[in-house]
Amino acid sequence: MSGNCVLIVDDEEDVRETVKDVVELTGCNALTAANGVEGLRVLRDASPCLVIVDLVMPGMSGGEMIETMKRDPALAAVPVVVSTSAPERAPRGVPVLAKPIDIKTLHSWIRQVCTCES
Amino acid sequence: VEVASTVGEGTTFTIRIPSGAAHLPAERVGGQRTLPSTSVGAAPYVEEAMRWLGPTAPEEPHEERIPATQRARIVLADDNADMREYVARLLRERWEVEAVGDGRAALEAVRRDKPDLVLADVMMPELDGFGVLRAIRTDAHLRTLPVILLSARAGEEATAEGLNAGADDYIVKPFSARELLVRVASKLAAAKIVREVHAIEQAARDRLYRHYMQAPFPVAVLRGPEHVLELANPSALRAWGKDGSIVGKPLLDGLPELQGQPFVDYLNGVRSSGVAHEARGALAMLVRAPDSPPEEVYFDFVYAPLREADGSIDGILVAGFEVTAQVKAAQELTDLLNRAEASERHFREVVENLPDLAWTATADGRYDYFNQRWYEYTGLTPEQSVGWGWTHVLGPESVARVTERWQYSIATGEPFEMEFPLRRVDGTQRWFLSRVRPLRDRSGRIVRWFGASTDIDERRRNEDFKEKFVGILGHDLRNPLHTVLTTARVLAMRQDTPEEIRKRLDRVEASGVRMQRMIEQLLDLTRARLAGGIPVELATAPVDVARVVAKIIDEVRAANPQVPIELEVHGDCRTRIDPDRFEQVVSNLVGNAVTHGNGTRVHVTLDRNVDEIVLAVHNHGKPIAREIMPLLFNPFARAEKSSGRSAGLGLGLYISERIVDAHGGRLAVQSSEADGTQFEVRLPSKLAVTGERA
Repeated sequence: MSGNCVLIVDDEEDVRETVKDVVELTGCNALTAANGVEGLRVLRDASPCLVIVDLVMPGMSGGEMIETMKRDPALAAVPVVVSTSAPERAPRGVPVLAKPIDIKTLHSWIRQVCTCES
Repeated sequence: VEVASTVGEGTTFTIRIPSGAAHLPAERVGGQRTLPSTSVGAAPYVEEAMRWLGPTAPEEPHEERIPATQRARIVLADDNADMREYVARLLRERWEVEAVGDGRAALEAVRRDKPDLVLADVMMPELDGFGVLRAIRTDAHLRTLPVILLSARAGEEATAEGLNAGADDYIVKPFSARELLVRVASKLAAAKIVREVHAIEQAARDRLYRHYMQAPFPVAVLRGPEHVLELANPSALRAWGKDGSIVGKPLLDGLPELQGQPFVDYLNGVRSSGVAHEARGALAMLVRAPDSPPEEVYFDFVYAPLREADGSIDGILVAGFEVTAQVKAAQELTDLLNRAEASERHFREVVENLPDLAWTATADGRYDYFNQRWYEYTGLTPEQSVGWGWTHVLGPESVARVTERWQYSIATGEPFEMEFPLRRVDGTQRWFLSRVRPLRDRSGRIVRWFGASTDIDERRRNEDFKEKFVGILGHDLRNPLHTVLTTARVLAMRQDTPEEIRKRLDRVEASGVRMQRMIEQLLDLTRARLAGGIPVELATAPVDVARVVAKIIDEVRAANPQVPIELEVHGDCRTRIDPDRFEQVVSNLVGNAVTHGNGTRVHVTLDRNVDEIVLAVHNHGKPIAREIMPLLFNPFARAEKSSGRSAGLGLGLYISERIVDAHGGRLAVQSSEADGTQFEVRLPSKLAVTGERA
């Protein structure tokens, strides 16, 4: 395993760790953050290939985090996937991964965007 | 009588009267004087005689000579021929004189041709001066005629007697020619002034009558004790509904319908008391057209006494306004108010028995009435509630928005409708739906506000519950399930997981998937039952239903490889659907067919008809029990539990039916031993936008 390929932002630790397991099945490294603010900080430090964001979180929500990323030229190009149990509330123009996540779909997306596979 | 007259010396009259009574006839000698003495002594004659001297004729009064035709006419009555001649001669200088010898002749002359003045001696045979005076004064046509009495009786007492009897003047013999002329001239002048005044008065009266006739309101003059209609202006005739023929008739002849009504009594009262009678809105029953029944007519009127110069009352002036329309309008208003009061009483009775809290407010939004329920619920007193006091039962979190919204309604007249909690007397809060509607008058002006608050606490709690429940199903249950399912899948995918654990992980996953489906179904049920329906979002472009069906069949086949599933498609099956929701329907129907088909072949057909698309899912399993059929599409209705597999919640068909319904389609079932079981979905091929989610 090499690099910090995928950033998982979710306020529930069980969900974070589970998605981390799914990501790591592909051989990619995964980082986690518990809310939008923390997610943005990790994002700037680690420059991952893909961000998986929960929508409803205390502090900065997933939607706000995505808005912030779009306004920041350094982050605007990073691919984002929304992971939510309420897909109808997802912001437009962002791929949605409904919970429970479809492992095959996520794996295919990771393979498409990640270049850090060992 | 002897006379001796010498030019340049003078003239002497010598009268010789025999003394004693012996030379007189016996019947003329006697005791009592029956007539007043005409003896005035020698002085008047001497004075008179003085006038004959010199050229100085009696001084002309300050009057111009008047042509004979315009000269005043005087009737002179004196039984003494000398005196008559003498006075007549004096008067003829300036006036026309008719001289007669007694009172009776004087009256005849006066009645034949009314003179301007009567000069009568007091002592006359037949009819003396007082008699003439009395006759003149009691004759209506003559009463104003100036009368001067001539008498030999001197003294203030006699003069007063004459004047008291109604004489205009009283001249005592002897009198000078000048005195006579001056007095007669003065009385004639006075009479002329009186005549002129009368003429002016008559003119004024005529003008007044003209004005009466033109008055835009009823005016009438009633004369005498019979109340003869001397005058009735057109407005009066119109008001009475009569024509001019009633003028000149007694009132009760002209308006016989007044018999028995109080008006004649009022008129008699005015005549006897001299006090005007006024009335407002008096009801008269008048026959306003020939042969029509009496109708109600209302008048404001006054009966005013008309006084003669001497103060006596001979007429009554009637002036009035017809106020029928006003009185009727006032009566209608009173009726209306009475009805309004009755309906308000009724309203309050209804409102008092309402289970709602109810109240009224004035146009400016001040609450002025609350029903008993209000006081029971809030525990407030009327004094605490009125005006804006009621806002004390609002919670601190809603008082601002409620008063703001209420003031908006007051300002704009828009109905008020809002949900907010009200504090109960025990301190707890319950949710109410409060509605206030304006009551407007005919001009659109708001007169009152009627309001009621309905207890919706249970509904609100249900809504709160629903929101929480949907939240729990959608998020709180799904997240741990996600962890269970995904962790099981991850473990199953790992190369290092032993085979015996992998088998057990499959069971975890299968249970997780079933649980996931049940959660989805509960969520759909909750939406269908509590949130106004399952949301269906039709695709903007037509979707090929055949592809959706084929995809689901592939999934079911993969899960049930042992069951043969066939699909037949006829025609173009594209229409607007919600693909995700329709997948649910197909999955449910095909899944059921497999589950309850006892391994028999499942046959799926998709047909395009003229205006619909028909999906039929058929199997040859055991038919659906007859008693279950009517309940099949009810929630939690489920078929007999199949051996070896956990049944679902019994929500699948209910949700499918709701989804098909939201597409404007129908879901039907037929089941028999011979033909097996077939579920049929009919979708309109040109789907309207019904059920589309905003």
